[in-house]
Amino acid sequence: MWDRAHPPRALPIGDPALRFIMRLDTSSRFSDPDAAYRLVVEAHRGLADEESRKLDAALILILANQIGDLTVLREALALSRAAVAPVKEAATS
Amino acid sequence: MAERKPLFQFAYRRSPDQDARESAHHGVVIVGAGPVGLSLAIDLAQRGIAVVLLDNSDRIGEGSRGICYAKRTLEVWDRLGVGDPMVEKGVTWRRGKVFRSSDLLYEFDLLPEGGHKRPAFINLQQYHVENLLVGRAAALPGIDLRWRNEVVDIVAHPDGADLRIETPDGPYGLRADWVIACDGVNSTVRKRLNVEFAGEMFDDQFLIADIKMSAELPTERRFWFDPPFHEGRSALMHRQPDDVWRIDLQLGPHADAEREKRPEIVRARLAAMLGHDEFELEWVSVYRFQCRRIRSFVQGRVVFCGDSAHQVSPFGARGGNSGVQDAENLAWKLALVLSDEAPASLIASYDLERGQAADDNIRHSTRSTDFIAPHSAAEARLRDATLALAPHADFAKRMVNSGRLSTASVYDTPLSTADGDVWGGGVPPGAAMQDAILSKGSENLYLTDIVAPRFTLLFAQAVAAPKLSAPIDLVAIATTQGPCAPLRDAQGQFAARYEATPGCGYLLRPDGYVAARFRDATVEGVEAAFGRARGKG
Repeated sequence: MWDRAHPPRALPIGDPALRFIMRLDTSSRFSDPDAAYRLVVEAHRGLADEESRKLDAALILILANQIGDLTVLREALALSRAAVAPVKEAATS
Repeated sequence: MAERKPLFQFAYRRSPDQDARESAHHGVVIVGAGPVGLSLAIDLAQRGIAVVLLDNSDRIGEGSRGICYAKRTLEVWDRLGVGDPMVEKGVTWRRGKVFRSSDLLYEFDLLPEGGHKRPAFINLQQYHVENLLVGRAAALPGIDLRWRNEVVDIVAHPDGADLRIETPDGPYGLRADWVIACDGVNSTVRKRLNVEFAGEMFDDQFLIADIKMSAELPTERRFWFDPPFHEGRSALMHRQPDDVWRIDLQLGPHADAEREKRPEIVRARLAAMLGHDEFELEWVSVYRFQCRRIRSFVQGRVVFCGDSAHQVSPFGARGGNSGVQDAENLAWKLALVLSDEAPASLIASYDLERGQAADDNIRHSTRSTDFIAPHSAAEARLRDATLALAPHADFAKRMVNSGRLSTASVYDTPLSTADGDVWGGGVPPGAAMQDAILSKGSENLYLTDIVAPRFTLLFAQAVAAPKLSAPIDLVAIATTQGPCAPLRDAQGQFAARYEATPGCGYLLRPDGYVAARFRDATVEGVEAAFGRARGKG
């Protein structure tokens, strides 16, 4: 899982070579992606910021367990890190 | 609080070595007579190797210190002749409870099956452990235990080391072919040799208190996240013998350690937890935990065992247990090397195998400590989400980490012979043997009692056992009701735990680890594996 000494490295998104080694499926999997996005957004409606964060934390753990695959989870985390700080991550990769 | 009176006092005695004009020369000198040094000395002495064992003190008992000793450690102590008194003196437990606030989150059972001689754990004050080991060491020829012999300097050579030792009669020198440093976290040997001890220090401080009280609580490990009596932090409670209880309270990173150690402060915290103040304080300490190790446990002819080589947080009871298992891993190898039955390079496998164990222990201990004391608000949210989900979802229960308790390590080692046959279960090479109940006539015996601390072939009897010319003990076990072996697997535990079929064999190392296994054990196969397990592969 997460190892402070070796945080997952951001993958250079868009590199076509990666499509053959990545296990994380980044293609669109919902027939109605807007509805899926909407469900997550609505779960946060009416929550204070700190409650929203708690919800996110619980949801992440539930979904991680549903994935049940460390490789996919690692790739998902790396992609998330890249979304948070793309410039900083790119500099270290 | 007042200094505690030591429980056990030993006498300094002058050694003839102190009158020698030149440093006396010994084969093995062990520095430090704690649980690790004493276990190693006893193991070596039982293997016919004389040792000098040096300790800077002459008493034990100023604090309980390590209290949880695991099944694997008890099996080691069985072979050293002290398993029974340890278990008799200790309190046996196997269940743990984890609470969130005042609600029970879950219970665990560390040894749910029968057929094991030793329990999952005993709790026993370290001073009792050391005292029992000292008694055993004194009963064996070949252990020269020298109290108040403090190693103050060491100079290493390619073929040994010179030690400088302070005593009440002044200093003297010793020369040793091998020096084994069992001198703990603050190892003088490690410091004098400038060996780097690197790792991670945790910010949180923890209060550790041993108290004496009579209580009708079950013998189990209890852990609380965010209990009502200690809000926002964690608490741990363990029973010890003699009505002594260990309580461990998280204090946070900014606590004033000196203030927290004051008896009135400690008493107030414990009274809030227990709901009464009818207890005596036995020992109080405030700690910051560290997880660190030295890079190589073997530095020429100086070998590091236990806390001198690696340090972990106490969640999981991985400190004392891993130290004793270091000692058992080293003892048979060193004995073979010293009697010219194995190449000196066999000692390198100690570094490899116990280095893997240390990494494993550090990994588990770091994960537990991070879960108990999260580093950031985000980590705390994830931890709290896990605790909040745990009553509703099994996966979250499994993520709740109040300490993963010590079990025998598994080694990925060149001493093992890789499986050449198909196995669906059983005990793989590199793993420790499993206990089982066997029958001999009308008597029930434990496999761990039957197997001696030597190379042993466990053979599931079908036809005649292979006629081994190598020095390997043979333990033949009848897996069916046939008349071919006096030992029978009447309850089927051997067959189940070893996936044993007629004709199969497990080669065990002297430390009870599986070196190789064969569906059809032949002389050639077993003897090749035997050579490999002694570093000749």
